[in-house]
Amino acid sequence: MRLYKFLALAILMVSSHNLWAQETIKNIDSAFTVLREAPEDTSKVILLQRIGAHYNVVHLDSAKAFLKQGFDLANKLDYQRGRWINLSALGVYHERKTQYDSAMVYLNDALKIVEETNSTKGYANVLNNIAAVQIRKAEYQEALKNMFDALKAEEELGNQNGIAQAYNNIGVVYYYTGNYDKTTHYLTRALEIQEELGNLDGLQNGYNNVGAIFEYQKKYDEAIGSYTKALEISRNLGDVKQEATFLSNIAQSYMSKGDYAGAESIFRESIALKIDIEDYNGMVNGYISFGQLLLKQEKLEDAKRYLQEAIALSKEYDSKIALPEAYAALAEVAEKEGKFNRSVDYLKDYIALKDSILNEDNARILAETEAKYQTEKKEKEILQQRALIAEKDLEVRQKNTLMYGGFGLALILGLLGYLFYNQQKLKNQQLQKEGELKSALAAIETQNKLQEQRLRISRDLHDNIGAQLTFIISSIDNLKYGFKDIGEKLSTRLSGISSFTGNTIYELRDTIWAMNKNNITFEDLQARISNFIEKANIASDAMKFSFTMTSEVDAQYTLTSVQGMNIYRVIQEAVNNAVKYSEAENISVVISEKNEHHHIQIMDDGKGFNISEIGAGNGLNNMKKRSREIDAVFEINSEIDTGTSISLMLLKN
Amino acid sequence: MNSLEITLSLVVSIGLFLGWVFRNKNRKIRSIYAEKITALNAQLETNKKQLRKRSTALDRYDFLKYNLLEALVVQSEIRL
Repeated sequence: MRLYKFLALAILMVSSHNLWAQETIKNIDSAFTVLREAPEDTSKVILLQRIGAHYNVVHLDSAKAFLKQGFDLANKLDYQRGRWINLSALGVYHERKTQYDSAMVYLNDALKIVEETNSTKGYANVLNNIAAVQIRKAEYQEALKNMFDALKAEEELGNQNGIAQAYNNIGVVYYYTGNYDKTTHYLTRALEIQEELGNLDGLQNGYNNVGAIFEYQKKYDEAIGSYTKALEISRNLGDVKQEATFLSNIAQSYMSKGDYAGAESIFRESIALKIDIEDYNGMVNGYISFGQLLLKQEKLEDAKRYLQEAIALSKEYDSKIALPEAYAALAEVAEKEGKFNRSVDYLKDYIALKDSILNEDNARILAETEAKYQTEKKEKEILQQRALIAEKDLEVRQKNTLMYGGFGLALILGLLGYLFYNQQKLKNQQLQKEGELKSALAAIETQNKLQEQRLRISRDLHDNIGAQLTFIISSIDNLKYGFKDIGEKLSTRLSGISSFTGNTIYELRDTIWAMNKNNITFEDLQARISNFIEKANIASDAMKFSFTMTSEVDAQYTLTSVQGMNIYRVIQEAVNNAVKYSEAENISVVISEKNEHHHIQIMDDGKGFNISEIGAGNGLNNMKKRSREIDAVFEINSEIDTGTSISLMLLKN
Repeated sequence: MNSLEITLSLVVSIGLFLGWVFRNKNRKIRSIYAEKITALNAQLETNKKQLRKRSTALDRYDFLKYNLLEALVVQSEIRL
């Protein structure tokens, strides 16, 4: 008959007395000083609630007045938050006073306000406290549902203390419903968080509950160690109610170890504290545990008395948690007394109560509640992950878009630059060509105008000076024929002047032509000389004239018009002289090229003459003068009866 | 249609549009240039003709005939 063993332990749930991590106020005197001077505003409402919550832990009877005052002031100020925090703390007060119906009234009022004001924080706080009351009343399904709702709200807020409280309380529910694996799981998680936070209120419950797990594992010394840690914290905090609970649990472990004497003294200490603070729920648990100890010590009457007292208190204060264990212990007492019928009745009561608390439906609903929470949590996580993935995907897309956009922009700018460059290049090429053409046009126009100007001046020269020279010639001719008695000498002299003037006209014409004609090719010169030689051939039957331009001479070689004209005139003069004086049969003109020189030679096979005897007449002088004008070397060679050769050597440009 | 495809489409479209705009502009520039060059070449040719005309006339000068006045052909179209 040991099925009640673990269930008799006082495992602790956490009520959310306050919104702050530390439930108790370290310096309560300072808080009172502040309270006395505080104006009637919202901060005073909060301070009153904190003081009330402090007394909920350290001195329960003092708590209610502050919380009521806080609630009234919140009403006066129409301060919604102030209303629900004080109502919630009042709910905790009544829960600790084992007045569960009153507690539920306050907590339901608080819940309405937090739902109206959409306060997630308030929702988590109030639901946790409601669940705590429901655990006391063994309404585990409702409690678990509210716990998971509170956990979700705390997770939403990221409130580690609240999450730890929710884990702890869920673990407690599982403890009372006999699911010890889940109990271990949730309580361990709660303790880990509380250790991280260093929250003493949470830690004392955590150590106590871990002690319960050790107890379950039959590690009694470890259990006592863990309970003792919780006990020390509660004593430091001045939380007498918890102190009594932890003492009871330590006594329970001693009892389990078989140290009944040690267990008894501790139980008595615990029960005395519970009576002192009027913790009826604690008293129920204490009486049952103590009754079990007395049973083990075979003190059947005492055991029966404590157990029956526990049942009476449990019924009075609706504290059903430990009630089945009381019936189980009574059944064992009756059995030991030999009252089997009574023992069976107690066992029936025990089974009925146990079933009402832990039937299959309840277990299924509990499992479903957790499964629902876990599913919702998983779904939420999946949604969060999806959102995260979508966010990252969006980020990557944005980056890609930016990168592609930048690349595209660069491409377009590059293309634009290339097109502009090409256009500019085209314009530059066109401008360059246009400029060249314009320059060429300007040059050719200028040249044209200059030449035209020169040509017009030349015409004027020809018309004026030529006419005047012609007038001189005709005047001289008139003189010669008009005066018949002029002497031969004068007549010869006049004829000389007339001839000289005629030559001057020819010279003038040649000069004017040369001035206008820039250059003349050998081909042109060849045509003119050929024409001259042809006419000479026609004029003289006795003589044969020939003209040769050797093949090495470039026909397109350009001479200046002055050079061309002087060469022609030298050839003309030389041929005329040969016709007049040489009595030759053949007269030849040869143009050749030797040693970078153009060589022009006029030869005849006539009688020749002695150069030293023949003075330089006009003709020879003219030829020499023309040669000098064009920087050519003039040579004359003649031999009697052999012929004469006149040559002109002109350096190539 | 993802961002790469949109960007590519945009770039290709803008590229084609720019290509079309510049092609038209360049055609116009070339056309104007061709007109100018034709006019300049025509002027150059006229001047060259005038030079050739003068040169041909001067080539006709015969050293034996002394027909200079025939060779000095004045061109009234050249304004001095």
